[in-house]
Amino acid sequence: MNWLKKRPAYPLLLPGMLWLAIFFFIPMAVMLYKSLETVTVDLNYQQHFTFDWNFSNYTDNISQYKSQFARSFLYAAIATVAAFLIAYPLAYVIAFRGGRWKNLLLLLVIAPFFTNYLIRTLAWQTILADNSVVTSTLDAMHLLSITDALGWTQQSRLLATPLAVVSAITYNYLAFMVLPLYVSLEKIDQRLLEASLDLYANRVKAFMKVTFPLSLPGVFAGTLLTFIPATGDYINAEILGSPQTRMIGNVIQSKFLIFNDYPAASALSFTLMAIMLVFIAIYAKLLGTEEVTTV
Amino acid sequence: MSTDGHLSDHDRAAFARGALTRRELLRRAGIAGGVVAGAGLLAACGSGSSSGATGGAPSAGPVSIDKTVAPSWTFSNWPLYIDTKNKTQHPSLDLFDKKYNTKTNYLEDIEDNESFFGKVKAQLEAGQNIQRDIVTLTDWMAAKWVALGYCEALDRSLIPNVEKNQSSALRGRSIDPQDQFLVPWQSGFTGIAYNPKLTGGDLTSVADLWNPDFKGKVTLLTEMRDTLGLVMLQQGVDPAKCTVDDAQSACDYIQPYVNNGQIRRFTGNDYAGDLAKGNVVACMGWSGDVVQLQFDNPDLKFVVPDKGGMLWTDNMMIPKNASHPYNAHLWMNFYYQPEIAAMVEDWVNYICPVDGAKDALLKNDPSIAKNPLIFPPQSTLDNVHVFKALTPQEDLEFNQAFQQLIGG
Repeated sequence: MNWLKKRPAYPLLLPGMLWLAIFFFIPMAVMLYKSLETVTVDLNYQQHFTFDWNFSNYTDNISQYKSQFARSFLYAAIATVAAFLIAYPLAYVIAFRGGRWKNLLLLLVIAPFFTNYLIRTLAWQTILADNSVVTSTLDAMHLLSITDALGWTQQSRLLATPLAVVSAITYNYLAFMVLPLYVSLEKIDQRLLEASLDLYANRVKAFMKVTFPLSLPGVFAGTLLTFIPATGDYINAEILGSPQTRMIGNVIQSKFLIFNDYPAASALSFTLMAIMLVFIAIYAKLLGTEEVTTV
Repeated sequence: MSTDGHLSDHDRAAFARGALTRRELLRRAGIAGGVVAGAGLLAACGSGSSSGATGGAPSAGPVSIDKTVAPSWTFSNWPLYIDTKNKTQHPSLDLFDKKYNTKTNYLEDIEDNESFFGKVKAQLEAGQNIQRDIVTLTDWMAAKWVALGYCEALDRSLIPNVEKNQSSALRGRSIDPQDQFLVPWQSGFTGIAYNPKLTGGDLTSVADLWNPDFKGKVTLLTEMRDTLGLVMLQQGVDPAKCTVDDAQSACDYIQPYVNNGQIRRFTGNDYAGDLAKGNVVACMGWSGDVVQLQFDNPDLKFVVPDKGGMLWTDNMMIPKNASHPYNAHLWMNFYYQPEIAAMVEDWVNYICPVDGAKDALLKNDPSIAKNPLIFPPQSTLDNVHVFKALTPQEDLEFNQAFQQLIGG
């Protein structure tokens, strides 16, 4: 038990590791195995799965669903950027100008999450309905003819268009962007800002040189927390989308639940994870904040 | 919701002789489909491959059932498919609960046969209880459950009303020749629903859905047999005899309308909301839904397309290893009283499988009897078709083509 004396913290990892093993590593291994199976159906409609290193599950499905993959990453990227642009000023104001209202303001950010995710999204169906106030107002302002021209909407409607799906994704994941940004902004030492101003930086420069760099861990965490689930999301596209806005999550969902084609669904899920890992690795390298990358 | 079988010439002749009532004829049409399904089953049994470790052949006799009423039980059905008062109350179920001193947990969680099956399949396969005591599935899916051994055999001695009042045309169907597993809930049509105020005129065929004025305001159904069935009929193909090539050509026919945005979405029952809100002006839909929507919006219309509509039956069945089979039997028996069936029918407005319900209904709500969607005229009956029973291989290929169409 010499090692235990040297590293007394290791046993503390046990519950976490056990949790990960049961709910992450084992399912991943099962899924990897499944993704290389072949499915056949007998005359009784009974499906049979045989493991035969069927790599065509990957090649066939990737080539068949590349447009849904591309769309997922595109939608998630736009939603992440949009969420960032909305969340940063919001988190900034709460952190620096919130004063005694800080907690209340934070509560308001989280308040929508007391409503079920599905209900929130379904509510958008009503908000964006073809003859809703929102739609007719935007149409009267001729904004919809612009989005029509851009291909974000069709026939001057919002529901069942890419704009509806991307907006709803942005909305649904906004809190995941706001909270990490708030935390990183909130702990910035005000004296550093004062020092930069004392050293003749103007407000913009102080923000660019001090505030923003110090909030990077929050930016990093917030974008990942938004981008990753947004890429795999299928509810928004299902409820607010059309056949042309189907994302890879919709394909995986239908492969699992409608086709019961578990090998194809597993292969698609693995591919999605792999691409995401590569993206995140590159992103971490580029943004490279010490706190995140050196852990 | 679509169906296996076809309306045979024999049945039509019998009707002409007056040997069959109009309604019987209609019901009979819902049945014959099983002939093909039955053949498939026989073939499967013949080859001796009862296959899956947990699935396998249907169990032979009724299991002995504990005859105590459970304090609660669960009934899964499609949305808008039972009498409803004040949005949340179901008078027929309330009467049942009161009579047997139980609590019915009524779930409207079946929006689509395939996705419901997908949701519970793994549990059924593992021999687990799916926490539902009755599920209501369309013929072809019900046939699949019977083939896979995923439903409990009924104890006919517990359901004398079914024995007495089940429409003769729905007895001994080849998907369940001994009436061992299935008790019909409702039959109905698939056709075109539209709002003439918004379309600016009447629609008569599937081709009318492609009017450029309706761009982005048309929906089709995620139920493959309904959508492809109507399109095949439009193309002059009989869905009772279709091939994989026919399915592909039906998909190819629809594809351009998906690509150019004519088709807004593929839906389950949720087309009802879009149609009522005016998001959609015309869509493929189910007859009884539209009759219900008409109460709120009398403008809405339903039409069986001139080149033919689809006909189907939904069936109650007890999933394998259900916890409260006795309550399920009691409910089936309770529903098969003409007065109770009439209560449901008066609201649901599909085609009722319970003999005598029509008479009970005529007494209380004669206007229903005049509704051609509930008591259809001969011309409509001549014009409805049933989807053939697909072999597992066809099932796969049809679905692949169709899923590709609706966006993967």
